[in-house]
Amino acid sequence: MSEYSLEMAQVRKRADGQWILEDASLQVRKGEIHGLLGDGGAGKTMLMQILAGLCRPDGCVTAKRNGQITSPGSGAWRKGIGWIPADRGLVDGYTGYENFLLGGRMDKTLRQRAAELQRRYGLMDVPLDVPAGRMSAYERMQVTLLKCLVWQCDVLLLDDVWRMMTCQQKEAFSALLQTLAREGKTILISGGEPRDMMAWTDRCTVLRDGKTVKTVSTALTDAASLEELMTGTDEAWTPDKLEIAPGSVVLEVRDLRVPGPDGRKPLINGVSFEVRAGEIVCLTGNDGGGQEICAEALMGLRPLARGRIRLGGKIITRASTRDRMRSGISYMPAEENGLLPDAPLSDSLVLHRYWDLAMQDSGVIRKRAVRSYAADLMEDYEIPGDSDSPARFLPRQDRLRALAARAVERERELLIAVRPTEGADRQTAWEIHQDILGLRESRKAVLVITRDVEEVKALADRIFVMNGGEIVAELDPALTTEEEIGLLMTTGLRQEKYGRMTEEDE
Amino acid sequence: MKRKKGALPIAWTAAVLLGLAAGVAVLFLTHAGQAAEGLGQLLGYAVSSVGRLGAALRFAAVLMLLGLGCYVSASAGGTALGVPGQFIAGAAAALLGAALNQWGLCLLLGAAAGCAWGMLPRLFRGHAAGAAVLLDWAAYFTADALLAGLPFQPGDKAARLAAVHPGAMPPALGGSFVNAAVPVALACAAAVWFLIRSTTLGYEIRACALNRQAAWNAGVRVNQRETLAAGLCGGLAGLAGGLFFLLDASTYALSGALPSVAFYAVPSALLGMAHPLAAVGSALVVAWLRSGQTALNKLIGQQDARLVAGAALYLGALALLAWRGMRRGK
Repeated sequence: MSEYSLEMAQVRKRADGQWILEDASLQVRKGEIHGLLGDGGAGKTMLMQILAGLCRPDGCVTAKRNGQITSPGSGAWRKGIGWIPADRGLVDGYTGYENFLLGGRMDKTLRQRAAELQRRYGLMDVPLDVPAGRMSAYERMQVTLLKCLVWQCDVLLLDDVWRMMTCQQKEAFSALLQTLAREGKTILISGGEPRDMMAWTDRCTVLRDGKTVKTVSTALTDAASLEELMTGTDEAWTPDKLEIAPGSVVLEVRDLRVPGPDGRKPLINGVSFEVRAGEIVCLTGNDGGGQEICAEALMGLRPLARGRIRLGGKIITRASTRDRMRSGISYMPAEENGLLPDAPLSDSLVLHRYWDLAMQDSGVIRKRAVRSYAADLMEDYEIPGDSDSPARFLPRQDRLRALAARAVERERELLIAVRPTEGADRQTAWEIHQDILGLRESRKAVLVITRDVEEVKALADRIFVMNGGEIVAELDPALTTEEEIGLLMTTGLRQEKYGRMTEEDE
Repeated sequence: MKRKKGALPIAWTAAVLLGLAAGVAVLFLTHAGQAAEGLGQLLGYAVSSVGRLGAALRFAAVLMLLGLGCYVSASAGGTALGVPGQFIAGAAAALLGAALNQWGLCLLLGAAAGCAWGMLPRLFRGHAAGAAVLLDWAAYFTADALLAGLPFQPGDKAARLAAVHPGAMPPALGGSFVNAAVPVALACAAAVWFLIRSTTLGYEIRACALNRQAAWNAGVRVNQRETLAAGLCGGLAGLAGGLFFLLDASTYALSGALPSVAFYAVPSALLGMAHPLAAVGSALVVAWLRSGQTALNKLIGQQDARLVAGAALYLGALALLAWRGMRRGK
């Protein structure tokens, strides 16, 4: 009997004209917690999807399941494998119990077994009678895990689940995984930071540019070595942040309220803050905290029930999105919501200024000007390729660079950036952070919406934590730990200081 | 990775040739003895006389407009589901307007009715697809009921319309075989091409299809643009309906005409959905084969002739669709 539950050697996979995996190999022992570590774009999620049987590799020298040669993606391969993605693992309209039935069979003892497992693993708080769409990202992930346990999966593949967890949740979840591993479950977990991997896993395989670099025992290495294996360099990639005294108020938001669908509970309520020139304010929170809705409201994409928005002294509460852009707001949406994947990259690069007189004349697009602008932007921000190529053919890191380039190049009065470095590797994240810090040095105001606590700590001059659509804390990054931010994000406990500020305002 | 610019014309030509080869293969398999003569008629009938060429071009004009409608709809990410209803609505409006005795006005009425019919399903938001299918049937029965009282009725064909309202029929240009319908369709193709590929409005419509959320984030009024595209598609389909019935419809009972038009319009639209020029080329090819098929009817029977034309048209269209799917998946 083989000691390995999953084995794959020299896996290759191509998508959108690029090699996502070129030579990835992995051996996962039975009953171990194995980490799959790599920078953004290293190929972790693709390898996990192949291991889960969700997509087939273009080439693979060896594929063994419990020591038996098995075709990847076949029924024999998938048997006993539980797939737990970061999100989108559940059908939104189904309750937790109804989601259990997907991919399984009708079973009268389902509720009973689920209840037993909830008691056994301390998951009593997981809401199984609520539609998945109303659960937080962490709860959704817990429900997906519980589903795999109900269906007695012996291998659990957790893809990038870290990014939706706070420090406290990470600790609790780590303990649960240790318990499952002791009971004989094989666990493969991808993403995260080297120090998380050190704390959570027994062994760790490092991927870089679609190739396996090394598999190491975490007891015999340290986080710095793992970091070096990931990036191939010992560079720290720490952004250079200068001391700058904030100037006058650029963005003033007062008592913002966005109504919920069908008159239900408001999506955000009573949100007030300011962003000054030469200042980076981070708005952070868990999924569903309301920080991204707030960004959309600031851009005029959401109707307001109440509140006032002032940009540089001018009230823009009722202005259209385009007028806000004309007034000096630059918007950088998250990567999946910012580009036109099947259109030439030049079309994506002018998406936030095609109406500009430099790009059109009486409603007719100036194609030559668009091409020239796109080519210049790509050259300035070192985005390789051709502006006529579809955006989806670009590597993700270059897509992120393109989004950042589009947002920062005109140095407007205010930049609103949503998850600007999600999925970025160390170098790209550093470059984007440098661009944002460059705006700060040019005395521009920046509002960053992110759930990455490390990014918050690296960039912010002030931090606002949101939970349940309300600001629950205003924090000074110099006086705050990541653990404190995580606690405020998940519990929604209103920080005393912020509570007083709200009362005074009222 | 860069896409080759000439890929679409090459793929379109290959799809048309593949379709023709399939049609010829079916002809040889079913009627080996008459295959050579049949092939000659299939390919040569449309150009065997000026009158036949003119008839093929008139039919091509109708198909061009339908293909352009589907192109506009696809550009905005739509499915062109309600096109039959828009075609019928446009036809009914044009025929009802025949009393005005102005063919241009009749066509405008047809386009307006098609446009309205195209926008109607958007009122049902999440149920637009279902509403479009229901509106197809609503158009079909409403039009039959409305047209029952007209002075020109089934059996007398266009001749009767020419006698009652001669000004309602698009004229031949300068006494030639080219009917006014052809320049109307070509002008529409040029306008659609310019609108979708070169204007800010077309850019917004395409952005809605390429990434609805990204377009919304850029301040594009997504719902409004999608409704506008649906209206444009409907307008073109309505114009096609008006042209078809004002030109040389075999009957004014719409129920009889629709399946016949759809048989040719579906592959024409599929072949032409990728580009306005492809819509024009596809319409010409389909109309040319349809003309040949009428000659084949006499030689090998109507059923077998339809089989040959169907194999040529549908296999070609499916080949192009498959190519586009593979290209997107790469």
